[in-house]
Amino acid sequence: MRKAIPGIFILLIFLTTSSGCDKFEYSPYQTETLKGIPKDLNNINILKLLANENTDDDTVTILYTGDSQRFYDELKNLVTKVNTMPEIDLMVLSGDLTDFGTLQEYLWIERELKKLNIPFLCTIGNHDLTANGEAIFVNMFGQKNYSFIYKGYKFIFHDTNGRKYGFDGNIPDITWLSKEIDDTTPDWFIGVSHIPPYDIDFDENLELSYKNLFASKKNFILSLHGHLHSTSDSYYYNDSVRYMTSNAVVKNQAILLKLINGRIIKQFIEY
Amino acid sequence: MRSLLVSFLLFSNTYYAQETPKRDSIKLVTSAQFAGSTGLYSAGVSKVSRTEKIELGFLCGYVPSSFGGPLASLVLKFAYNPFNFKIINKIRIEPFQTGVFFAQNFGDNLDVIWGKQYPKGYYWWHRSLRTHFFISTQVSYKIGSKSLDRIAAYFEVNTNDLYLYSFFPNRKSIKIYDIFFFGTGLKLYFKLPLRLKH
Repeated sequence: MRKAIPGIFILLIFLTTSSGCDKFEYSPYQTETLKGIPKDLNNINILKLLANENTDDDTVTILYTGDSQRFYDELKNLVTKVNTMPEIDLMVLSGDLTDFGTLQEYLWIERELKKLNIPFLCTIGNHDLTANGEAIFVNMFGQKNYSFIYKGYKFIFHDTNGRKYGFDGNIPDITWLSKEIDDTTPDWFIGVSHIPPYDIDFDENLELSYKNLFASKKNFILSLHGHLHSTSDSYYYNDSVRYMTSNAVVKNQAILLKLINGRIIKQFIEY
Repeated sequence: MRSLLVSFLLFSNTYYAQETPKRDSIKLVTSAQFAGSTGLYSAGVSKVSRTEKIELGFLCGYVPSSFGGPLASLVLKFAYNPFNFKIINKIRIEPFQTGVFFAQNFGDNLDVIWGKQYPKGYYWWHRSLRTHFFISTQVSYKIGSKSLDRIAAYFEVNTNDLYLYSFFPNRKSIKIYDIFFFGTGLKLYFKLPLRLKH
């Protein structure tokens, strides 16, 4: 028996080393793996969404949730539920995909999200920006600020995590947002970002110009956020823009938004 | 769990200290490691207890940009080797070693403390100091020269506090295999005399 031990030991090393090189971790904070991580997911999902754009039906159905940080089991249940609902066009995650901004968490979240039958689009949250999370997000999902038009609705995903940058006056990027909103192509505008403008983690020096910019467009109908881990829905600034926040994934309740000709129908989905 | 391990270590130390009071040499081990969550490559030195059941020392590791860095780490590592078997003449196997290491990570976004824009307790976890738990297995070959006692090869699996926090509430979607990561390395065990022999 004793003579067999070195053999078993060598076999064990061989098996474990050959079974997947990405199990050799260099650091919990590494931004890349030897095998490579998924890249440019937001663009890939936008292309997938636009490829299936059916112009006969102008209704847009969105599954809206956020803050999936460390709630993998609940996310798994949500994905299963969403896959039974063929009417949904896309899933929107309002940031904080991860809790600690580590590569492993991004990979664990992506492992669940890729099981979705529909495209998913993510905005960056403050937790995603901790450690090397920003570099990993950009690598895996793409630019923090991006936009696209689907069935006449322009979705503007952007970074509003002002505290992370020490409230330096640059986040949210008002200049970029102005350019995005200065567009006559879409019928309607929808903003998607993590921190709502009235929250203490939003750069308060930019709150006024941000909400005024949105309200300056009469067809800017909706601003979706996360961060608060609970739902809220109001015309917060008593202007034409409706502000919503989503539940955290752990709450087992997501929001279904049906957009019909600029009208918003909201419904809760349990999973 | 941590306190249990510490008391275990302390107990073993006292026990063996009483058994072998004579001290004429100091045992040290140097290690060179690939992966293992402390760097692409890490190197370290540890003090080895006389019975060779405990190793306590430091490692330094580095991850270059091409491998997902630049990152560096400074690690304090305790290892406990409860068993060893002599297989044939010069080959010894330590099938199960365990321990803990504390890794202070350094990088562009990894200051020791959270930035001043965050009120106290805004993020509850330590920004860049990670606590890791590991299990390893090791085989060594006796050299028996004046100072180089033996050389060893080891294989280690480790996890850290953040992965454990992620694992426990998610038993359906995160498997135990998901949170353990591998490292492997070589060690040189030295026995250095403390006084000259006549």
